[in-house]
Amino acid sequence: MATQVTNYQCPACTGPLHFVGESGLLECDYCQSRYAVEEIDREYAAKNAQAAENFEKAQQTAAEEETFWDMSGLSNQWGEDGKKMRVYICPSCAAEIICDETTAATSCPYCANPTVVPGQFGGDLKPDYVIPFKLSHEDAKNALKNYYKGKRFLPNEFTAKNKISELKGVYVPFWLFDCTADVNIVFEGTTVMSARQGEYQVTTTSYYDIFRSGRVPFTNIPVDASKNMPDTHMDAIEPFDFGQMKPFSMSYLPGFLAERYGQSAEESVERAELRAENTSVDVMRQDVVGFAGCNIKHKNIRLERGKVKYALLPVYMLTTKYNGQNYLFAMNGQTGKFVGNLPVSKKKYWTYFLGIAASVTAVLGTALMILL
Amino acid sequence: MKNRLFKISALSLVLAVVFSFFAVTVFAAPEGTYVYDPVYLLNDAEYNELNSLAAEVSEKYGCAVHFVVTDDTSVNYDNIQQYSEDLYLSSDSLGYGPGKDGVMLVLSIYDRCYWLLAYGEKGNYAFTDYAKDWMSEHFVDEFGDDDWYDGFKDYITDCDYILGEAAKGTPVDIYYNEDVGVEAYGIALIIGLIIALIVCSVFRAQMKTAATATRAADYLDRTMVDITNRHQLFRFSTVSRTKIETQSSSSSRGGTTVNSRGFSGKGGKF
Repeated sequence: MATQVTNYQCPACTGPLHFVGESGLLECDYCQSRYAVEEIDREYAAKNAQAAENFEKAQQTAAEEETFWDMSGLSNQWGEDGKKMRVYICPSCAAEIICDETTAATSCPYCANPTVVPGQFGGDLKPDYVIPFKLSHEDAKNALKNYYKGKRFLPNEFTAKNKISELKGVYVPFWLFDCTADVNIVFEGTTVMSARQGEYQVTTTSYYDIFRSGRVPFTNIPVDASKNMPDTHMDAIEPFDFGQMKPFSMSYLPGFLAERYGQSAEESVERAELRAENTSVDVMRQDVVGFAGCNIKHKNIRLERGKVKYALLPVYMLTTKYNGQNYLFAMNGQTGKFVGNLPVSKKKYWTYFLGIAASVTAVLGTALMILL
Repeated sequence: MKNRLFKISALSLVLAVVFSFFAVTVFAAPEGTYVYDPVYLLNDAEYNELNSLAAEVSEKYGCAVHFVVTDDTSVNYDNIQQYSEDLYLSSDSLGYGPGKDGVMLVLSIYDRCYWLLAYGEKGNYAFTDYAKDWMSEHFVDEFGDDDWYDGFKDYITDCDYILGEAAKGTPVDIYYNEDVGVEAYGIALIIGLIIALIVCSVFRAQMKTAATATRAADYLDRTMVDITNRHQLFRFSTVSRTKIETQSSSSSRGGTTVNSRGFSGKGGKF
């Protein structure tokens, strides 16, 4: 049966303290200092109180220094360029699609509805930036074919009967957020040492408070501003290389559709902040090394909110139909990253499952028979 | 019957000497005698049948299969091993060939205890510690119910099986299990199902690549990360001591434990 004792650290030399029954005191193995149990309890209580006070202060400072997103640069009007723009509205999903006067929308790129109706172009909120398309429609078709490769559970009919019913290059609206996370975290870390002593296995687990503070800067965290575009698809085609981002110009639009944002920057900040906070915690955790376990004890993250930009990012939208259902795929028009959900053939799934199980059982069973 | 009386008389005489002195003595019995039952636990028909069976097994494998019954009050649980080994070494009638290969089950009716020993290269190779445990489980209950004939028959049948397995080069041992096939394929099936589940989950995950992002590591300039405070405070430690369990007997490692006199054995009560 296992037994367990708790050790404290000597305030003088940080060596381990142990209780001596004869003196009724805690004694240090290294510097021979002696302390009353109450004295050590007070010492540790003071340390904990100090840590709690520091944490409290940090939280108070955070509350006092709360910053706000800078959206001052978002009021650009299209001006004269607006006269060259057309707008179409999808009666099915209410997507508001814009394009230049040389391009016409014949169907909705999101829901594949074949009827879109012209609307009135409002002329507000001209994008600040654009990442131009680097890849062609043909690249997108090839990417879809390649995407099917190696998908073992894909129904055969899906690839055989499957036709691309829609392929559109769309500039999808994104909000880009700049911010710096000011992070104060206390982790609880453990180290474990185990050694054999005679007939016993002795395991010593040491507990530490690990403090990390710092600043973690982020630039251009993208949040899809389209209401019609699934967030899952837009998040999954990331990352974009913002080094190639250009100030917006009408010259990038011909031949492509664009969508007017359907979700405001204020509505999108929550997702950007969550991503920044999660990543800043990851950065601090990665900085803690040499511990067997590391769990967050307290955390205080203050975001210095910076500039918000409005950009159009290049995405190819592909829609295919199978068994009366639409399947939507998206390809990053800059990097070629391709995403989308495919149907699973139950027949293939169970064939693979049983095949693998049977093969492993046969080979492993025979091997075990020989070994046993 | 006359023949049997003669054998028993001879055996009784020898046993009396052995019990009196607990020393090396002569155990004389006619050739072809494998069963010694001076207290008539078996009737003549049973005796003849079992003796023939034991003789047949002994000849088949070149390893004598004996059993000896005694009602001597001096033989008890504490000394039955010594008694059995002395008896085996002292008698030319026990064992097979010059190496005296054999297995012998000695039953003390007085103390209701037994000793099962094996001797010689063949005997110790075939009758591993595990094999002796395995066969004891079969006859102990029957002797406990005074079902002598079935107990001895099981003993000889088990000896036949164990010697047969040893002759094939696969002696019955700790790793030997009659249900090894079921066990091996059972384990393999469970592992197979787990592997199939993992592989199919990976394949299935490839079918769904659209997922919400919860991190922003791609938009972080790691060279600009400034960690201003790194320190740690030791709080306390816990020490746990767990007694290490050791393997209690050599039989768990398989094989046969042979003592300095060249015997391996196992005993108990019934």
